[in-house]
Amino acid sequence: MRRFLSLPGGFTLPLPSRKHDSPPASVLPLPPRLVLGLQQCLPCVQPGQQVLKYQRLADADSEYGVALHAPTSGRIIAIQPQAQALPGAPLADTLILEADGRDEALPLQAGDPSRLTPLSLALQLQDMGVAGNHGPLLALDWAMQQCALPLLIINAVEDEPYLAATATLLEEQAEAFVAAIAMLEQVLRPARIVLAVSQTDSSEALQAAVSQHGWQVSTINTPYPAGDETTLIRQLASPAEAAHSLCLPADAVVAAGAAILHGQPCISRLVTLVDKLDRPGSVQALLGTPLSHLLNFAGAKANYAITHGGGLRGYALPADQADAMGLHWHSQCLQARTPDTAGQQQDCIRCGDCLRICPSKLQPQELYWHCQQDNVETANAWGLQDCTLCGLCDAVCPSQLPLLDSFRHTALQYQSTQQQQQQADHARQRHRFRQFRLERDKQEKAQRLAARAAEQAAKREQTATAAPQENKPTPAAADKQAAIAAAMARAAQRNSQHLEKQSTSSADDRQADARAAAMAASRQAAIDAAMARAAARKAAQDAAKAASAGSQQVDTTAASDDKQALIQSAMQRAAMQKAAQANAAPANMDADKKALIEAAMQRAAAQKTAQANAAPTSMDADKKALIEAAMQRAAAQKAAQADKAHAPGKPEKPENT
Amino acid sequence: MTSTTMRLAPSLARRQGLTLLALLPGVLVLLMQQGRPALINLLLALYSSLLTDMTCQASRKQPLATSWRQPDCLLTGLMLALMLPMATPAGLLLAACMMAVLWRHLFGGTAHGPFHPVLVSLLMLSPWLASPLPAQNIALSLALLAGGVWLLWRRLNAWQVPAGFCLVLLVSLPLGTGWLLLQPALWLLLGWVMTDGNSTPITPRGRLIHGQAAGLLCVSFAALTHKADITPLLAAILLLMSAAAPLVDQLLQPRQRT
Amino acid sequence: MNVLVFIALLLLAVWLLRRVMQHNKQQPEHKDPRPLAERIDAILPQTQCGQCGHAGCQPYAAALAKGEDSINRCPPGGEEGIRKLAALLHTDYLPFAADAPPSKPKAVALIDESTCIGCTLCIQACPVDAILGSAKQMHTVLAAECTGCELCLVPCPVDCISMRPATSSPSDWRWGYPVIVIKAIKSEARP
Repeated sequence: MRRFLSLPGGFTLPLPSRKHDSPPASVLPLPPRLVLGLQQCLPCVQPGQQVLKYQRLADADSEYGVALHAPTSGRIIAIQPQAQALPGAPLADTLILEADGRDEALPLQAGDPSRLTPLSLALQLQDMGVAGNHGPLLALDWAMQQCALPLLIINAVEDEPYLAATATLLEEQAEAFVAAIAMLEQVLRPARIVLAVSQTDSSEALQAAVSQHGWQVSTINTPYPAGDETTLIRQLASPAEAAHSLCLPADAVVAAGAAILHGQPCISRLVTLVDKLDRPGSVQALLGTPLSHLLNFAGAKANYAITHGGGLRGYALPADQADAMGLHWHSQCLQARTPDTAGQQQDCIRCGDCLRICPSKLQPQELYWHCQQDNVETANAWGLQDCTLCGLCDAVCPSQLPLLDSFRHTALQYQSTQQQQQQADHARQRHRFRQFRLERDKQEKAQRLAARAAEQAAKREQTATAAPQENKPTPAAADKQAAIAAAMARAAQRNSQHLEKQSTSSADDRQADARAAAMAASRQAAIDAAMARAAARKAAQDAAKAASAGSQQVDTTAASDDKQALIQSAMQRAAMQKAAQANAAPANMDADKKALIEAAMQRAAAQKTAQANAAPTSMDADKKALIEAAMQRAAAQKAAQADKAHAPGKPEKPENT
Repeated sequence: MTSTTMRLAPSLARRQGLTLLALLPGVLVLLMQQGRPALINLLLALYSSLLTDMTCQASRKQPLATSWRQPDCLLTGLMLALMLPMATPAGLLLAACMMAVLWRHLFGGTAHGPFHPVLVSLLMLSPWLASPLPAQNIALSLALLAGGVWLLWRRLNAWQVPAGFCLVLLVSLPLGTGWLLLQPALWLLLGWVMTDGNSTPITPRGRLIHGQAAGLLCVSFAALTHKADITPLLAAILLLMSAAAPLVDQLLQPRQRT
Repeated sequence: MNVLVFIALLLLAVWLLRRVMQHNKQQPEHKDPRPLAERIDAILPQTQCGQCGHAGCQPYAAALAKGEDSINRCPPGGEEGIRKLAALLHTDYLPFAADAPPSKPKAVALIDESTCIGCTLCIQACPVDAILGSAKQMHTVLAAECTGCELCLVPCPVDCISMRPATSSPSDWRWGYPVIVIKAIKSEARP
């Protein structure tokens, strides 16, 4: 079944015809050492440790990571930061494995797909190190949702020039491919499976299997950026299916089949080696193989530059670090080109070719101008975020402007500024809460002191007047306290009302409103606390009615909804802090409960203050003494350490990082 | 560090070379028709523009080889030689070529400068260009048309501007402006000047409107000034339209984004 | 005929002018209703380090809004921050003062846990509550919350806090500026 897709822009690339250009994949000789980048995984082996083939080297560090397995047997030499075969060759922790040449493997255990659920399949694939385009092949959060899968797209489209690994894979391992898809079908139970391929003449085994299983084959004949996951889903799925369909790359599907059906972790992949080479072609290479080893195997000339990836989206890598950079799962293709192919760059002649070819209907020449000016906001207004970084504009530019590079740079810069802004906002929030907390603590302390003074005054009064009134609580003091609290509440209310007026005057802006509400909320929280305290005092007189009285109080003071929410959160936080004293702090409570707890805590606090008659006046002195003692201890420790360090034969203490 | 290794389109120099090549049929027709004086004119124009360009390059401390590697100046000279009447004195032709090349370098070479140098030069010298009779030349017009179509077919030119212009011209045939179609200057301007991205809008819709507006102006003026030499007139119209190009671009921006 | 053509041209010009006016009207100047100090505060990096001489970013923003301080006093914001402030306040860009502390790459405080005596002084100094611990217990820094303000370094009695560069991962990496290859021109390459 043929299907022609329509895309705006795009370019029908001069792709090589597959018939002539797919020599059988050769198997790379074992490299002396493997360089395995530890991205999104944490090593579970030590340097110096002997490992066997298939042994796990690193575990996934999060739900987006995948595990790493030893591609061959050998010894871990080091775990150190090294350049990665990623755009710009960034440094990251790298595990270096020295192959011993024996290739001793752990026994493999074949699995049974019939017992797997989508979630257990996703977890198993993550453990086996099978990676998709973003993290593990099956995203864990997707598998956790357990929603029905209407459409499964197997993406075998290679629309970028030079990419041939998937085509070779399908030709040579058609049976494994079919078995893998059947396994996925068995576990995921999709309503429909579509194989998106880029050439019609796929192998007979594939055709037979497809007709046998009732899968659908779509030949993607469109211009270049049609092999994208998003584009494929948009084109092949009906609108109802689009939201829940899954698009999996074919090479990872084959690896998943091997992992589940044979228990074989993902340790190698097919790489296409092209351009200035004596023996270009596809090679089955272990993950972590140094790039120089690969290119030397293919017969690269002495002086070459490396491009990682296809002809349009590929990125340059420093050739002098080719030894240090290891192959990773996303290395589909390596190009060794002569170093000086970059032409001379000229000025934009406004030919409009980039505009015509852009699949996202952007205006790359304007975008480029703003990106060069480092004007990120304007570039975003021109649709930088819609740019798929397909590289077509760059390739057709007669002036050979570095459009793609500058878009990549600016897009990433925008991302990082966004990140920084988020962090700054977070820090601001924390700082403001801290200020609020300090203010609140100060107020509470003042209130406690006032309460204690009032209590003492009442006691003095009691001792002065007649004895029979001893048993009753001091109504005068309680009244006084209530009056103070009420006065404070009124003042706070006035403040908050004032603020509210201010905030309503600039009504149209929601943000300002929210901020004003937050400010008001801090005061409101203080009011509420004061009112609750007043209620508690009353409760001391009439214990039975305390609860209802408190809840009424709180109910009557209920302000607007969002304000209430803010107050709740503030009070919750306060309650959490006091939890150490009160022992009871449920995370989410409604207003009634909170008032009760507040009252109880107030009572407890009142009891405590009543008990603690003598305030620790020598606090500061105590603290100082403690610190001095600590410093002495620290000095002693340091001296001991220094002694140790001086002592011969003892290794230095490793630095905490 | 430029990453992209693949080039799907000819480089600027090659592009200009191909544009020059598209003028070849016109040059051949002219040589066949006029013979020696045409050859002298052509050589003079090419020589003077090349020399001026090299001088400018040298004074700007740019590599001299650019003058013939990117044959911008040769294109300018050739166009002027084809556009100006045969009777034009040699001094005037020289001045026109020099002025055009100087104008280009005044703003920093290729891809810079607000107006097309050929138009500027034509307009500046129009008081001295005396040619009361329009030069009707069917063969030359056809040859230039063929070259222009070849450029469109090679996708070296955007089709929108010429298409818009021709559409208006064809629609207004009943007005009696059909003689415009036989003007070689018109086809030269249409195929080699109006398709220059620097002086036209860049959006497809903007280019279509640009072509239509230019056609409208041209036809209305041609209807007014019966059968005069329209070359300076066309130049003036196109300059006006180039000045309006940023405006058209701004008005016709796709506004789906904020 | 002449008159007609000119009237037509005039109409076209008027129409175009109106389009331009409309176009300009469609994009009114984006007005931010927040008070100026808030808008300034939104630009500041919120390290709360006090290197500007104020007790935090908010007071500095307030001072800037009143025009009491100059915009080049925030080293963590870097030159980019000064540029943004200059654009917001409609003033000229100012370079950092010569005596200003140098702008450093982002760092995160690290407590040497074996030396820490649990004095809580750093906890009290931290402006964003990024240090955990209690009296006589070991303290530790929440690296994700730390702004790198270095305010905890001074109060520590046993000098157990050090600044470490924030860990960088491949995801932090940015594409470098596309560099134009510079080639020597022959005439100038000659001696």
